[in-house]
Amino acid sequence: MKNSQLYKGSLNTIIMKLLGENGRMYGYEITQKVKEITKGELNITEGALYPALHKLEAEELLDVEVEKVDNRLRKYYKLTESGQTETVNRLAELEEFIKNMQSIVNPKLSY
Amino acid sequence: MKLKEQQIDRLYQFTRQHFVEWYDLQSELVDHLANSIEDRWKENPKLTFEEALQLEFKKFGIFGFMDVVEERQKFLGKKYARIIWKYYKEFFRLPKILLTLGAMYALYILSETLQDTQILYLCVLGIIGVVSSFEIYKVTKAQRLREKATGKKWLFEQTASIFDIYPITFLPVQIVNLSGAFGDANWNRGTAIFGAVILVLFALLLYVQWKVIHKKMSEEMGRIYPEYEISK
Repeated sequence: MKNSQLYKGSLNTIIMKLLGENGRMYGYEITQKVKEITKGELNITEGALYPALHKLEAEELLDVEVEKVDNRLRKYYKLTESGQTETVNRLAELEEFIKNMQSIVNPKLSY
Repeated sequence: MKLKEQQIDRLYQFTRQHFVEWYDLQSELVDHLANSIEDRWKENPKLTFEEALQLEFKKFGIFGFMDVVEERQKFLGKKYARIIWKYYKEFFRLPKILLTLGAMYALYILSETLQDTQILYLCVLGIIGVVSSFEIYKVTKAQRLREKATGKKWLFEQTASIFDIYPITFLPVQIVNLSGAFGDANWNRGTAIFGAVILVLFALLLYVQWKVIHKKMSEEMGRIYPEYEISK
């Protein structure tokens, strides 16, 4: 992932936000979606994505469904009810963080 | 261009070669590799399947799938611990709590009647040990047979089996020892009550892990993976 230290803390929030918007998604689809939205700027690595997904699943924020697609099994992730609530909280936190960073990095713009 | 069935098989084999033994995890990685290989072909149709596979595998880093496997095990372990705890707590609601208390009381009364804690509790512990070993043997044997028949190992089963409560086993043993140290020739009410409570809680923990949780997890896996249902 580009600038991995800066993005690392937000990976879970990014995943949850995407699932909130798109309903259910599978791992590869998430990496492609992020690439598409950020025009190739942000590239989630496989080694970071799956542990993050599995962690959210273990915390029962995500539920899984498995389906057979093109002669292979595809594992879809979607938000559980508690996952939806948590997404709202985490997005609010992230926005707060961005606002604070902006005040620090560029004090003139803040108001 | 879509991957053919034998190429999918090759991907399963590839994950096995890279130390992913479990079907539940393999299938997720296989789908990921398959998607990325297909996308690579869109950009560069001349790449062979093996070349594309190696390029994609590199993206997982020098440890390959190891990180994914390790993390998965860690999180599954946590998940089981939480589920076990949840069902364990359920026993402390009516009417199951009456049963639990009843068993504790019966054990205590028996101890009072016999005026003995050490031999009685040691026998009870022995019975718990024999019964649970038998149950664990049954479960693991069924798993092994299924593995042999289908060639599929399930990470969730393995994690459920190694989820470790055995350090707690020493606790009842200590109690029995303690009762000997206290008791001399005299029967001690405090030790008898304490021992009865601990032994019943211990038996309950084993029961919940091997009878209740294992069944629940199998049902959940069956719901998620149709393959698991079929191979059951």
